[in-house]
Amino acid sequence: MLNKLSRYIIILLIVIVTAIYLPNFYWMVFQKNVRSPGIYYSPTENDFLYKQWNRLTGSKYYNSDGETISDREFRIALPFYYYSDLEKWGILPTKIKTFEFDKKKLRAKSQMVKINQKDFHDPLIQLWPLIESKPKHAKLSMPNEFFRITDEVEFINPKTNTIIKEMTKDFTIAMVEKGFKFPHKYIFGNPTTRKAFDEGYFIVDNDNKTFHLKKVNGKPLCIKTPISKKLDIKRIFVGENNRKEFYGLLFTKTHDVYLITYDNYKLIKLPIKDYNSDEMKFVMLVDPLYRTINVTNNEKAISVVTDINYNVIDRFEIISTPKENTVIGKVEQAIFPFKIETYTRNSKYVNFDLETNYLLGIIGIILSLISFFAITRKTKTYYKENWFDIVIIALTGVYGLIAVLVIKPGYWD
Amino acid sequence: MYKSIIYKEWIKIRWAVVVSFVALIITLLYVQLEIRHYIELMTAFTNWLYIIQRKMLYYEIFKYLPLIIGTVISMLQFVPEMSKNRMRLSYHLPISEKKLLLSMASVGFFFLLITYVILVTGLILTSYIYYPTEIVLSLLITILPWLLGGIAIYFLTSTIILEPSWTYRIVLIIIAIAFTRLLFMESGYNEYQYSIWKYAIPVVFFPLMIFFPGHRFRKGIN
Repeated sequence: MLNKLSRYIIILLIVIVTAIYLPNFYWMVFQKNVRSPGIYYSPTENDFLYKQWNRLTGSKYYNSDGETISDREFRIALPFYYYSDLEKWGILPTKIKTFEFDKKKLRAKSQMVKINQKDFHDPLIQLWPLIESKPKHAKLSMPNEFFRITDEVEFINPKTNTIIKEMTKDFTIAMVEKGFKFPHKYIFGNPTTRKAFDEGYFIVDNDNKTFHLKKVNGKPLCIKTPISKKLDIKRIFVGENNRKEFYGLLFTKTHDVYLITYDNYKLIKLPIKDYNSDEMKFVMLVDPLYRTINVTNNEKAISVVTDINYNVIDRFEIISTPKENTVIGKVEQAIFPFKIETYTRNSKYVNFDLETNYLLGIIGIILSLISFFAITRKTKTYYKENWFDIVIIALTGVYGLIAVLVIKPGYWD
Repeated sequence: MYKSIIYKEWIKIRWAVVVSFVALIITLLYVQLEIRHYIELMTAFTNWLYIIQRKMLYYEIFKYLPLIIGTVISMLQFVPEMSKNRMRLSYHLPISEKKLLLSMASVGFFFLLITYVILVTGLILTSYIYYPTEIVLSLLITILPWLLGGIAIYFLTSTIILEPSWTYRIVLIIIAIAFTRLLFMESGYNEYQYSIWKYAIPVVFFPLMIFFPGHRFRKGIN
């Protein structure tokens, strides 16, 4: 009995290992390497354009009808992005609609926000540096301490690995005075010195109210924001930019996206539909005349262009067949009844997730069972003694088939 | 009977155990010196920042140590048994083959666990001097898959050595590498936080794996 069990544990291990590696090998052989398209809105053509990169053909450029255009045509249609090329070619327009072309002004009025779905699933140690937002020098510099939020805002001195009592008291009192309820739920910031200025942290308290905490001249500045308690906040990406239009982007668990503006934290809801922050990449392009918001994954690329007040001007969508629906994908599902995913493009965590292929997978299981009987062709007693082999193949298809064929039953006592 | 089995296994691995302990303690001291050096060199604040934001694993030197110790202990225990078919003699002892294999493996596993206790205690003590709870906790979560990898490789190596046929051995070696590799794929801290228990489930059954090659050996399969 134990010997049989022992064999099945080896078989189970082979099933696990093959269910992780074989589907990966399959896709390595058959998948064409295609990147999601980069969509832009042309202020001269008043239409969308996109470029797509492919391992075989390199970058290719298209207009919104899907017709190929040349690299030069593409650049000419996007003067806000390729102005240095246009300048070199001597064809830089002096005026684009209401915008008088000026490189300095263009740079001051442009911004790009990129948020990858992985950024939502990234382990982070909850210790934060609070950068001085009115520094003495031209550049920002890192402070000397970290803080954590427990029942208070605790500052720790890394040199001695002890709590700095005075700062802790000052900041905690400042938070409590504004009505902050400890312990907090989330904290979001952008703790880097590679930016022009610092906006500190947005902290969601135990009551779902959002507070803004900064350090000004070494003292706490805590603001209770009017951001609604009812918003189911998933994440705020703070991104300081000299344009000072918004502090950052607020993503909700229901996949809505808001800008937190400098106008007393008023929220502007971005007009995107069909966005799933767990699976799609988010890009927002800001130029002097338009806002282009792109969300993409393997299946689709959706682009919305708005005016500077976020009124929708036009929408554009490119649908590509998801790899699961291609012939190669269907064959994969028929061969492998399920797979175990360890790494995904959507998370920085290592997983161990079972993904079943349902109906199509049954084809593979039946084929595996037929092959098993065809290959083994043994006596009734053989199948009677090793009936569990059949169960394994019926449950795991080709993986089980490989495992029971490789690790043959012994001469049981 | 068990006493003498334990004693015999101890004789086989005692040098490896001593060397492992010494290596562990030296490495722990080294890590301590390295932390101090970093803190001197780039200030404690920057050191913390490297650990938190750039996800530097200051204990990465220990990454493959459980794997090495697991493999070495297993080899020292089972290779001598398999050379010149000595195992055949052991199987004639007045004790069932399964109890024999299990008690042999328990000895090796026990010493592997002791090295883990030393490693984890040492790392916690060293880390608490310089780092706050958050960092120490992330260390514990991050090294879990490495420790699990050591346990997995101990039983996998034992199975491979006990297996009498080379064809099966090669299959088992491939499977062992493919599985263990999965536990060493992190690029930062806490990445296995939500999945480590799923990797641990099959490993819990690994000790039972050694019976099958034992059985095949006794049946004289080559």
